[in-house]
Amino acid sequence: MDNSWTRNYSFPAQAIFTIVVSLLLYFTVVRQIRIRVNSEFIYPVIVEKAEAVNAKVVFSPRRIGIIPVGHDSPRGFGIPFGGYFWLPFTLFLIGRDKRFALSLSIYHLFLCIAPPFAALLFMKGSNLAGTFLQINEMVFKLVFLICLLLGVSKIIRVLKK
Amino acid sequence: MIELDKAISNQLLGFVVKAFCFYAVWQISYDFFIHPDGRVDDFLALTVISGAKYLLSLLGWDIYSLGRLIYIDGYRSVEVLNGCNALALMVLYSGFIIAFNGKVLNKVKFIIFGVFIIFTLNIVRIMSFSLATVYFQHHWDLFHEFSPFLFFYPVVLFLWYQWTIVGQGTTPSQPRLSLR
Repeated sequence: MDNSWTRNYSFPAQAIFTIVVSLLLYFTVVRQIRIRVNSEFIYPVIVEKAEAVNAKVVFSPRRIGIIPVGHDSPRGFGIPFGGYFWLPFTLFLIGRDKRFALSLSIYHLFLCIAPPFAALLFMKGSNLAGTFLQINEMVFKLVFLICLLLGVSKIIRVLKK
Repeated sequence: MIELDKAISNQLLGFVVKAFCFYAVWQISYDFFIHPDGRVDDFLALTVISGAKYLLSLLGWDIYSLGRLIYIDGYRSVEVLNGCNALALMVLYSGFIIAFNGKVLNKVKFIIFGVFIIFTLNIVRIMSFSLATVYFQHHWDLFHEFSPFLFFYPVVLFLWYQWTIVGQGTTPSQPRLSLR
């Protein structure tokens, strides 16, 4: 967005261009990669581990839920870098807010490690890990909404300039 | 407009720690007391169903309910599970208000007002789920998945933004925080 050619276009035009490219990239590439990574790599590993401890695994294309023995509802984690990442990330790109874009990326890298690890502990019977997974879900939404708030506010400010 | 990024950055560490502690305390309380007891979840689900049923019947629909199920005569039923009673969103909303700086009395007012708004929106959301079984059953799952973006998130974001103004003791026209 900071390339010299972009300066030839107005901010709204750049914003629309960024949103369109981001949406196309997400729906044609990223979404498919997430589904593939989940179904071909994460899900088989989780199922194998779950079978060893008689836990059930609830599969959806972009999410894994686990029901350990003695529990009646699933807890789990979504595959990172989904829509909850791309939407605010795109807003940060439009607002040229590299600091928050980088922070959000690092947070989603963290989500690649901690929740799956907690899920493995949860299926082995750790209630604390189950609680962590739920807190993580809440913090995940909090981060998403705050990032939206920050992204939109920055864009409005740039537009007002 | 207040620079939210600066406002949040200035108190980021405190904010994150407070929010995380609040959610941790809530989740532990929920897992060990509130969920096993079941009354809070039941109350929210059943009240939302009653509200949706009442409003839809006012609009002339033949609407029925059975426990946590609500259905329009001749169409599929909608079940309000614990995840659909908006309790988690109320806690999420409150966590932000509590973690962000501001006067205690204002926090209490904002939390009560916001929770009431979320509760009301959830009634509208459940109404729309019932109507979706009539008008676009095939897209019901998609509608359900994206319903928070339609009903909750814009309002929660607006209320949070208002709170960043009230909490900082500023008004939109006279921000105390620096402007670029």
